[in-house]
Amino acid sequence: MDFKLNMQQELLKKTVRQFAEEEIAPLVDEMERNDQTPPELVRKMGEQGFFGVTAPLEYGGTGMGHVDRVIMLEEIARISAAIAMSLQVLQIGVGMMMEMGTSEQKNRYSPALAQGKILITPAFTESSGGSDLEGMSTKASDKGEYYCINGRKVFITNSHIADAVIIIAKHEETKKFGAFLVEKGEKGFRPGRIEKKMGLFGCYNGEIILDNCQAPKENLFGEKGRGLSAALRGISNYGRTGMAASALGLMQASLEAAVKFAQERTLYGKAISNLAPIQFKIAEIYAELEASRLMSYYAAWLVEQGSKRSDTQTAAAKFFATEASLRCTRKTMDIYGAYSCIKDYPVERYYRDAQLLISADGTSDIKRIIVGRNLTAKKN
Amino acid sequence: MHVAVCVKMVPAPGQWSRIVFRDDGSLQREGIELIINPVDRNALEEALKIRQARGGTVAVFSMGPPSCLEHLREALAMGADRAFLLSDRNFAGADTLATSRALAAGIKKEMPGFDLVLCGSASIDSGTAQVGPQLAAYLGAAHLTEAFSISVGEQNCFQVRTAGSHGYFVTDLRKPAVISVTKQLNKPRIPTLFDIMASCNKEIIILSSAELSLPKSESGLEGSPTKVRELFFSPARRLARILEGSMEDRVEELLRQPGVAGVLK
Ligand SMILES: Cc1cc2nc3c(=O)[nH]c(=O)nc-3n(C[C@H](O)[C@H](O)[C@@H](O)COP(=O)(O)OP(=O)(O)OC[C@H]3O[C@@H](n4cnc5c(N)ncnc54)[C@H](O)[C@@H]3O)c2cc1C
Ligand SMILES: Cc1cc2nc3c(=O)[nH]c(=O)nc-3n(C[C@H](O)[C@H](O)[C@H](O)COP(=O)(O)OP(=O)(O)OC[C@H]3O[C@@H](n4cnc5c(N)ncnc54)[C@H](O)[C@@H]3O)c2cc1C
Repeated sequence: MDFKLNMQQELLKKTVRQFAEEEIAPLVDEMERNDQTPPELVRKMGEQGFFGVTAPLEYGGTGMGHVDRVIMLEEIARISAAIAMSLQVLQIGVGMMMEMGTSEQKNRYSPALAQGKILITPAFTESSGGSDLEGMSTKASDKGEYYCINGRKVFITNSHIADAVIIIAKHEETKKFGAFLVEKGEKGFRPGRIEKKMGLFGCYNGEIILDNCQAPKENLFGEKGRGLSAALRGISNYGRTGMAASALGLMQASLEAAVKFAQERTLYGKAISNLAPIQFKIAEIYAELEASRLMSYYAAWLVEQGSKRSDTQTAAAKFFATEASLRCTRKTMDIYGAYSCIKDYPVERYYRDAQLLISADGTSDIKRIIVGRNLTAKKN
Repeated sequence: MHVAVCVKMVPAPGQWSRIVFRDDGSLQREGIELIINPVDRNALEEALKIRQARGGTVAVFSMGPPSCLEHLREALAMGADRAFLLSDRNFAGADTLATSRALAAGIKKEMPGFDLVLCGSASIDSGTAQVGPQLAAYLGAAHLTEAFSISVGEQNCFQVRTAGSHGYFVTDLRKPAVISVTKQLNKPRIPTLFDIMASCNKEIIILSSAELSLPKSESGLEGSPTKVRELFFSPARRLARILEGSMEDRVEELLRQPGVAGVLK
């Protein structure tokens, strides 16, 4: 067993860190104020190849893998979980296209998709409840030349910057779910309201409204009637590891902030890093981070191997790492005392952002249900 | 246009407190994270820009221990075509003279028809700023230091701007030339993921003193006339003085202060 990152991964980690520190960090304050994703940053990330990290070379991607994706997302989230969130969801769009798109669709959007010049975001959740995918009420009816789609999607990441969305809707004729690629310019498509969240400022979450929206027939995405499995595959192979990686970034940032503050803050004539309870908290943050990191790398590796066990591992890594990030950012808050609550320090942002990772891409409860169900299922 | 760039690997600034000085004045740097000397990235960036505009090749040269290899990979990811690491026990303990002699031998061997050699103005760890000028002497090339702008001019010349105390100089430098550059020159690029993938297929060649035909007596500690006699920390202290008297007196005193403290001449 070799725990060392390979040469390419070391270089990836280093250069993405450099990018995040030089290009993203200076924008964070502004994002906290205006809650907008900077378009210029999206363009730069596209040039860097961030969107196409797992896409094959022939479609304009880098040909790297899922572990590489986790490494890079952690580095982005260390500086801005909001940008990591926006990016990782757009990577789900790229990944779903590469895994499930027809060759005609792939060619139509390549290489622009992998280069971030076209942004595709998945839009599944409805107000009827993200956990209850079957309860979705968005409908698609076959009008011969096109599908007519009606419905409303909520909490959609990148709702207001995406050029196209992958919509899950029920075929009216068969009552089965289909996945449809809908472009922003289509008649009857419009982004609705932008949610005002408690955190992840700089990452849009909002509504996508489909009002007699016409999606050309060739935009059916994946197999007809298999839309739910397409959605679940996107969530399982990309979403969960993406969320876990974002949690790693928040924990790494919290650990660094906790150590720095503990070394600098003086009480009773010496640094508080000398106090056992402070050291305990730092030790716990470290242990949770390392455990989460190993789980997440392993989950991504299983996805890369095409292993059947990846479903269980990605679900476990997602709930463990995101919940750990909430505990760790909270502990860092405690170490900072009252300073944790003021905007001069980034730790309250880490804490707010961590909470948003819990339900995104499926709640912790749902992930536990998946792990439990997989582990107790009778093997035949 | 064939450009050689010298890059030195130096301890990362966050790690300086972990550096230990050995009794002989040398540094114990095992286990200390290294980075590319920051201004050497500017030198590389400029070489890449020149290649973009004029064609040609860019080769990177570094002298240091094998742990420098991964950082040379970074230079390849930035876009250098070739990388050479001068690494050999005989090179250990080199002063600036032995360093430039070795680098010159490497460049002569691997890029004999070079047009330009770019160096950083100084390293952040020992910062003598001597390697560039010494290298020029060994290579028999024209030389300038502290360049903040370089353009490839007509008739085999580089037009170089260098900082002066009350302005700047514009100099035409004939080829082949060695130029030491400053951070003001450009903004070094960050490799893309595509560059990283491409860099993994590029080769890094390790050169020994024997391959450069450098005898032991001319390399490393033995080939270094500099002997470190003593190392000491020079304490940096903040002076705090409360000025008293009338406002006029205090202003006058204040204006005198920087001169008194040796800050302004
Ligand atoms: C505490 C201490 C004191 C020292 N004092 C002296 C001294 O008084 N006299 C002396 O001659 N030496 C001295 N040395 C050794 C010397 O500084 C370095 O070992 C020498 O290799 C490079 O000099 P520099 O870092 O000052 O380079 P600089 O001349 O400051 O570097 C300028 C540029 O030269 C290039 N360059 C420098 N080194 C390399 C390299 N290894 N590989 C590739 N490119 C390179 C880079 O482009 C760099 O930006 C000292 C070393 C130490 C640790
Ligand atoms: C930041 C963020 C970004 C998001 N981005 C997207 C996106 O890009 N695209 C998209 O489609 N969606 C997105 N979502 C929505 C996300 O997928 C949903 O929030 C998630 O699926 C949960 O759905 P819900 O919020 O409607 O909660 P509900 O499904 O209403 O769940 C409410 C509660 O019931 C619990 N629960 C549900 N079912 C069970 C059960 N069977 N047993 C026990 N407990 C249960 C849940 O755990 C939760 O505690 C995003 C959400 C967030 C917060």
